[in-house]
Order: sequence, then structure tokens, then C-alpha cells
Amino acid sequence: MADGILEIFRYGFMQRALLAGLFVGAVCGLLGVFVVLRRTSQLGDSLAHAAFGGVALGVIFGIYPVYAALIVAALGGVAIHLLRERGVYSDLAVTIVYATGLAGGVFLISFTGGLNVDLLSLLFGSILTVSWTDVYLIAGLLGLTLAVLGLLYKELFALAFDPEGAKVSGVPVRWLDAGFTVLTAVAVVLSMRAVGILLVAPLLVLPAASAMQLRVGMRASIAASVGFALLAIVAGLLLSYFMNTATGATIVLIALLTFTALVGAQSLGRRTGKPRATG
Amino acid sequence: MTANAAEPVVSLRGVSLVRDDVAVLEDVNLVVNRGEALGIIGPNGGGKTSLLRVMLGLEKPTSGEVRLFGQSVQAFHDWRRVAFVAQHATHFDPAFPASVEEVVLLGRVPGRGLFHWFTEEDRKAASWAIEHTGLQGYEHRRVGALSGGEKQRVFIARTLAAQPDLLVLDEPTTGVDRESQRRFYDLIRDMNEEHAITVVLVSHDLGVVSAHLHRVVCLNRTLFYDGDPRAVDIDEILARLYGGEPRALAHAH
Repeated sequence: MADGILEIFRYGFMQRALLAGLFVGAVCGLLGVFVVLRRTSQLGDSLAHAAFGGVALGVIFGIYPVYAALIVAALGGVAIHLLRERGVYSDLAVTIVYATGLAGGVFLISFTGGLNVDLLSLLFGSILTVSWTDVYLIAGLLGLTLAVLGLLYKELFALAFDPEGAKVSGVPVRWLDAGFTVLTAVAVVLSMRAVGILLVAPLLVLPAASAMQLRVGMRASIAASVGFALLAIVAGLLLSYFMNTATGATIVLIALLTFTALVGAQSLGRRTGKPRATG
Repeated sequence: MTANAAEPVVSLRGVSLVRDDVAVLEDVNLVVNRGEALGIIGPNGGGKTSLLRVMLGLEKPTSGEVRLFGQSVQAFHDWRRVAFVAQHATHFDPAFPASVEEVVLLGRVPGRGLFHWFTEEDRKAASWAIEHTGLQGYEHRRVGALSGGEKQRVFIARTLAAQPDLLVLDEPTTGVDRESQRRFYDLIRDMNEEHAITVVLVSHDLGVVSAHLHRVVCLNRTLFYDGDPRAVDIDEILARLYGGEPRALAHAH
């Protein structure tokens, strides 16, 4: 089996898939903690559907779909930010952008004669067909994410922990909020290649949710979140190869399984390990 | 008292706030000088939190002028000098993954500025604050797992680490047991007297405030009383403040 595992990475497409997967996993793990803590778990889903609208526009106007999706998703992120600022509930803002992207995308696609294979692969992901261009783009995204977190970690942490306190601390809350949403949009679009529009959001939030089950500090949680994301990616990639299942779905199911196991362990620990509970 | 009349830290002149056609604050005039410790008391819904929010520039008053350290709050950027503990600060998401040390270090955010990592100096200030609030040994504990009184000490440690000139607290002792309350006010007095930090504190509990602070203002949309809480006419003020229903308030003296 060990030989078999090494063997499959002799294929170029598996090398690209593994690299793209690891980079995507790292980005989702890093950003996911902030997405979850800021109670914007549906943000990824919404931006992914905005991206779908972008893909449709790209197909119709002959622009490389990933670039069109990047622009439209980033605009969707800005729209969510502006709606929230005008007092629209966060979940409502997210749904409005989701609806616009999805309805607009499906409407536009009607003019091209319906869904084709390329579009299906965007919906459900096709990590095994990523090109080197995709890998470079995703590597760039990881670089960007690391740079943003490196430079603004304490501000992002302050914002997630206590937004008003952050504002009184002189943190530029508006710009940080908008910038983070746009970064998430970029991450969602590029992660789309790996797991598909429909499964991007779970990859963004499940590893972070798992990390939070460990009940540790912020830095440790971010590290754990990245770890869980990478685990899901690698295990999902291998498992789907040997079982011949859809890769994106397998990756997400493993992330889900990890989360469920940790929640189970938590509640088990709570039941058995707390003899001095006070009434 | 080390109050210096020539140095107003907070000043509000003719401040009014109308929110959704409801007058929340009306013609509030207030000056807090350097070194003072001021308690703002009043009934729930009397505008205490709104007053703090206006004071800190989190909300724009409908009319009037707000100054921090002599500078209009809109133009004020020196947030390193101000520390704020919001109401229900200790009631945050108990699952939030943050250790005591990480939260205390947040107090150093305004001093360090954008794009910079915390330095050794920040870590020293944080560990000094942790020690000062009796939280040694808790550094790596998750804040969400602490008791109410311990959480409150974490938030005080965060403000101590900031080494601010002005400390603003909104209902800091709600839901905290008596012993932690006493410890809290000891700390506040220490910060005020030993470290010359100006304190503005909001509470609905006059008994506790009057036992610990020498200047109290009563707020119910507008300011009613300004002075020493142990003055004799406080009961009458309270009656007016609470609409003719003087409550039995425990005076500690």
C-alpha cells in the first residue's frame, strides 16, 4: 500500500493535484478560523455562488472563467460589506449576493445551450485536472494569505474577538473587514478548482470548526485548522483515487467526519470528566 | 486627588443624540479632568452606554461637541491612550479560542500599530499586567473556560497592558461575585491613584459606585447630579432619576 501511494504521485496530474490541494487546504485552514469566529460561515458559500455568476459571464464574453469569477466574487464581497454597513443583516446580505450570483449565472448560461462538462467541473471540482497555471495561481494565493496574516494578524484577531474594542484600539475596522472579505472571495474562487463551487464553503469552515473543538488558544487553533484541512485534502485525494469516488466530495466528507469525531469526543469527555459539576 | 483642572481628558459640550426619532441624550455637558475617577449612574435605558459610545466616537452625536485629550473625537487618532471595556465584555462566546495571554496582548495593539508584530516589550507589559491582576499560572488557559470574576480580571489586565491614560468601563461588575467586585475596585483605585489613569465607569448600581468613587454623575437622558455620591441629597436625586420610586440601595458607608 505504501508503495502504491508513492506510485500514484509519479503521475504529473497527481503531483499537481497534491500541490494544489495542499495550498488550497492551507489557505482555507488559515482563513477559516476568522470566517467562523466572525460568524460569517455562509460567506464562502455566497461568494462561491457569486463566482458562478462570474464564470457564466466569462463563458459568454470569452474571458478566462477563473479571472471573470475572481472579479465578480470580489465585487460580491464588496457588496456584502456595503450592505452590512447600511444596516442589512449579515445573513440577509450574504443571501442577496448568493441569489444574485446563482440566478444571474444560471440565467446567462441558458444562452450558451446549458451546462457543459467544464461548468460541471466547476460546480463539483476537478482537482485531478488542474494545470500548472492553476497551481501557480493557488500558490500565489497562499503567499498573499500568509502575507496578510503576517502583517495584520493582531488586528484580525482583535476584530474577531471584540469589534468595538478593536475600533477603540485604532484598528481600521472598515478597511480590514472589506479587505478580509475580498481576500476570502479570492480564496473561494481559487479553491473552486479543487472542490467545486458547491463544496468550497465546507472546506473553508469545517477544519476551523474542528480546531475550535480542541479548546485551545488562537494561534494553536489556526495551526490545528490548517492541519485538519491538509489532512482532509491528502486523505480525500488518496481515498478518492483508490475508491474511484468524486475527489471534492470525498475531501469534504473527511473534513466532516473529523469534525463529528471531535464533537463526539468532546461531549464524551464532558460527560465522563466532570465529576465536580456544580448545580 | 491628583486632578488637574487645566487638563480635561474628556469634554462633552451640549451633546444630544437622537436615534430613530427618540431622544437618547439631551444637552449633556461633562468634563473629566486628568486623574479623576468618575462614575456615571442611572436607570437602564437612561443613555449610559450611548454616552460612552459618543464619548469614544463609536457613535456620532446629533449635535454638540466631544473632545478627547483636547482634540475633537472625529480627528482623534491617539487610541493608544484610551482603553475600553465594553458592557458584557465578559459574556463573549465561551468557545472563542483565545488564551489569557493572547487576550491581554490585545491591549498592546494600539501602541504597536499596523503591520507590526508584538515585541519583547509588549510581552513584558502583558506579563506585568497578568501578574498585577493575580492571573499568573493562567497564561495559557482558554479565556472562555474561566469564571466571571477571572474573565473580568483578564479584561482589566488587557487595559493595564495598554498603559492607557484614560480607562472607560461599561457595567464592569455585572454578574461578578462580591469578592471579585471588591478586588476589581481595588485594582481601579490602584490604576487611578498609583498609575494616574483617568477612569470613567458606567454602572446602574449606585451603592457599589458611591462606595468606591468620589465623583458621580446621574444620567437619565440628561445629567442630573454631579458631585460626591455621599452628599446628603442623593436620595432625592435618585427619586427623580428613577421616577419617584426610590429603591433601597445598599450604601456601604
